[in-house]
Amino acid sequence: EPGKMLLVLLLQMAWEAAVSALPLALPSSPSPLAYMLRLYHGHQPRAHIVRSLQAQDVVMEGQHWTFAFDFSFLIQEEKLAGAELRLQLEPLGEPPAEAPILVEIFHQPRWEDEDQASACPERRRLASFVVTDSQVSFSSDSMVLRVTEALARGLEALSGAEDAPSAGRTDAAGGECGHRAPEPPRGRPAGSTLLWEAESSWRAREGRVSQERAKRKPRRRNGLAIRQCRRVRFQVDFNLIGWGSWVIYPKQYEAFRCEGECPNPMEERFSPTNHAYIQSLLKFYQPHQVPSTCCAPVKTKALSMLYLENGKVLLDHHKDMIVEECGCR
Amino acid sequence: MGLKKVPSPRIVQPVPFILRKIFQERQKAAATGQYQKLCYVKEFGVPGNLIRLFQDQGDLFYPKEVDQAPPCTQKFLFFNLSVITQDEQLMMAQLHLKLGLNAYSALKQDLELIVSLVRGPNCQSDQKLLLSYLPWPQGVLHVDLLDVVKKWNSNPQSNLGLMVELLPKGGSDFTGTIRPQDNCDNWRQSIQASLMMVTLTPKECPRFSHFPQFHRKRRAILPKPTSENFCRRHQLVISFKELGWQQWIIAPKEFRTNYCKGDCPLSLMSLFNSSNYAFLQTIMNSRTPEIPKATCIPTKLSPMSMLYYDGDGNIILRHHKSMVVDECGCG
Repeated sequence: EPGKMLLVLLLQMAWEAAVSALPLALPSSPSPLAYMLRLYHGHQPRAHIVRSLQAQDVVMEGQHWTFAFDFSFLIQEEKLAGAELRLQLEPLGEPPAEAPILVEIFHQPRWEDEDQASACPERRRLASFVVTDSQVSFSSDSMVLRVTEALARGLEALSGAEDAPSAGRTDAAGGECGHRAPEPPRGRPAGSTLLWEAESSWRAREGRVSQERAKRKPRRRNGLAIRQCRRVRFQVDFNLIGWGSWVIYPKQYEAFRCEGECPNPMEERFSPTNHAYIQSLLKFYQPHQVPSTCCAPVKTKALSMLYLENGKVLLDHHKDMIVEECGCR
Repeated sequence: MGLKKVPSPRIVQPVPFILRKIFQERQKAAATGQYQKLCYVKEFGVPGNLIRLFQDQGDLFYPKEVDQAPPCTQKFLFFNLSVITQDEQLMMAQLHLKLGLNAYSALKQDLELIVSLVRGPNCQSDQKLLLSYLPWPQGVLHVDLLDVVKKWNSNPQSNLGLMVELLPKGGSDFTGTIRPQDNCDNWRQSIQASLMMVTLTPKECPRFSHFPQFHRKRRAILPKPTSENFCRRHQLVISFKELGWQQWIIAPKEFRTNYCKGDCPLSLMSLFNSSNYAFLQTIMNSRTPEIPKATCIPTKLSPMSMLYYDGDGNIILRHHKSMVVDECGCG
């Protein structure tokens, strides 16, 4: 049973010209917080998500530096708008501006199973390029390489060649491993993105909400368990509301409606918006500050109706007439 | 065609997507011989046989009595509605505000937008029509102006224009905080306003002139009942510490999230952005009380930028949607 495979991209840099003593100190562990805060407070880039990835692994052999980044977060709907390799350099000596820099991008699956990983150190070159002057810049204590194009090319090659024979592979370890296409990235639920982020951040820390949730028992009122938010049957009778004289068809129909309690904090199956999730969490910690979220339709469909208007018969589709799904809002 | 003379447009405006779509669909229907309702605009859900897009002429009609130009954060709008004839019935009037990126990226903060009616000769604006948070990064805001335009149409002298104003979100102290780096003209030009209007001429569409008000969906933002108990937006600022999120959310530390609360009485359903099912459920409640009324929920939310650590220790800057409640309604 192979271990779970994650996608790791390796960025390998080599100073092409042999510089006797590398004029740079080792790049320190990057501290991107200040940079990201500057982005947040300053002129935000025109992108929906900016990620500052921590290098998972850094290997330095002379003038060959290899950085491993976990790209398994990438989901299909995201389009790469820009990528920079930011190296924080210790007290900057002479920047190696004279030496051309070669950047190579490799793909290497990461197996969670250690044995599998050592047996199949499969590495595939996706793209390579020599950095031009316009692609490198220095800002305060960092060297910034713009790698957007190469990375986009690499990711494209990767998604395009998943099923193809592994022709571009360089360091394949042998036949028995074979080439395995990367697994689809960790699936994100369709609901609130923040809920997912919060849950995963919690998982990484202490799994707090899950524990709290596990402790909770279904609430009871008068000995009866209170039903959670769901869709229930609801017959609309046009005669009953006095519309029978002008609505010809249907005279009544199944509209469904939403009923039940919204739990605090919320779960994904109630398809909350980010706001609803936050409100449910606030209700959990500070019950008096906000009301619970409400069980309400989140998906509806239209109904065709035949009705009288000025003595003429009209057929029309009225939207939002039938409830298809309920959620907490 | 109802035109007094051959038009000679001074400025050619791009045709908005929605008008082009309506036209193309009707053309297609005509070509295939399909039956089509020419007296009903299904794209807007209103009866009508004439759709017009009025361009803002605020720059031309800025009142001469006013000595000085308005502050950079204000823009005067004026729509010349004199082409509307006496026999037309107004069915829809929607102000479309398109905000160019320049308008607020230079201000570097979250903003509120206020649209108000101009009442006096000196551009005093009193009646607030809309207060809304700006969508990110840019977008079109729609404001229902039917009641206002009806008044303008019955008394053209009362049409003194509209004022659009941008304020920092939260709004208490704003004097001096807005200092656009661009010059005022650039800034104002990045706000584009137009008025989309649908009218109906009873002569051409006789059977529609008394359209039964099958709960016309109104996104009315205009004077709402202000009773404390009715469904409305409540202001609320929370800190991420209150959610126990302070360890992974870097910025902001706190934000204005707001929430919805209140009653949805039948008599006021048409004012509460309510949908057909909510309306029917509330009517049924008046007959059979065991059926609950519709509930007060957010009907318009806006996004917010956040900086945080993900589960792998990476730092993420992301614009999370649906973070702040802008409007509430009965759903």
